[in-house]
Amino acid sequence: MKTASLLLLLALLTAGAVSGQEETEPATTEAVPTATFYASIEEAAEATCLPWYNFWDDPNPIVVEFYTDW
Amino acid sequence: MLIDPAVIEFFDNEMALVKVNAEKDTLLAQQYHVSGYPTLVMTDAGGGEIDRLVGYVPPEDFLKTFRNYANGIGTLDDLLSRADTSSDRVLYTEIAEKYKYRGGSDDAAVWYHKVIDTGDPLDSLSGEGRLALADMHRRDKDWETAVSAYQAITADFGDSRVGNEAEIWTAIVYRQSGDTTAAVEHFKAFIENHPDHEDVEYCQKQIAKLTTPPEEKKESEG
Repeated sequence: MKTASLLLLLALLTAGAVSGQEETEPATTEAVPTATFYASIEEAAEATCLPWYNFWDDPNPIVVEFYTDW
Repeated sequence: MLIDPAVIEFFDNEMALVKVNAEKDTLLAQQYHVSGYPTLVMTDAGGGEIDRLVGYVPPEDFLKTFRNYANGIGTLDDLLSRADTSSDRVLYTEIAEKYKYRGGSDDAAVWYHKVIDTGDPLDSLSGEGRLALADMHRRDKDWETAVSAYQAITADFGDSRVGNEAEIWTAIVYRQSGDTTAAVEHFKAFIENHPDHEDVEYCQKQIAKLTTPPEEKKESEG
């Protein structure tokens, strides 16, 4: 009995998943391109001081972009 | 601006970009005296400001400005060293504006005064300088000094762009200070004096807002 119930549940879940896949259109979210960025000046400064970063040149200058969501 | 492919490439290859949500990191935004968005501040590794760009500009100008800054061209330090041997008032104005954007009001005032004192006190550069100085008083909420400064500009510059701007700002300062009666009077006077001016509609809207009783305001807002 227990096994039968589990099988039934499994069958229902599988059916749901399949029908769900059929019904739901995959969301087409176009990613907004953006430059690589750091979360803080300290982080950027640390990264630009790494030996492999700008091996031949001076460290890149830091630019802080202040923005709002509105 | 930061989604332009050339700008993205520039940041990926030539700069280290840090993005700061000014609404969340208010302390850092205050520290850099950020008052408009977007503001992009170029700094050294210790966070010391090299220079900044405020507002949106076309990608070509944007790239040119930051490449120049990276090479020490057009920065505040560069302009200050050029001013040592120059009597160019446009250069003085640029220095004043750079200080203003950085929140250095006292330094900005010194350079605006230099613009006014070294040229014709009634030319457009002097007018812009005087408007900027009056605006600093307004931002400091020193209403009385701001009104006097704007009214003096209107008296000196008459029916010109600078004079008209100062006239409207007088009304705005009264509104901001809470003197509704004086604000309405000045907005009305502006309409009477310049019935064909492009800011007449703005003045009419201000008068309507200021003269609508609070109950009606609530109803119309509801």
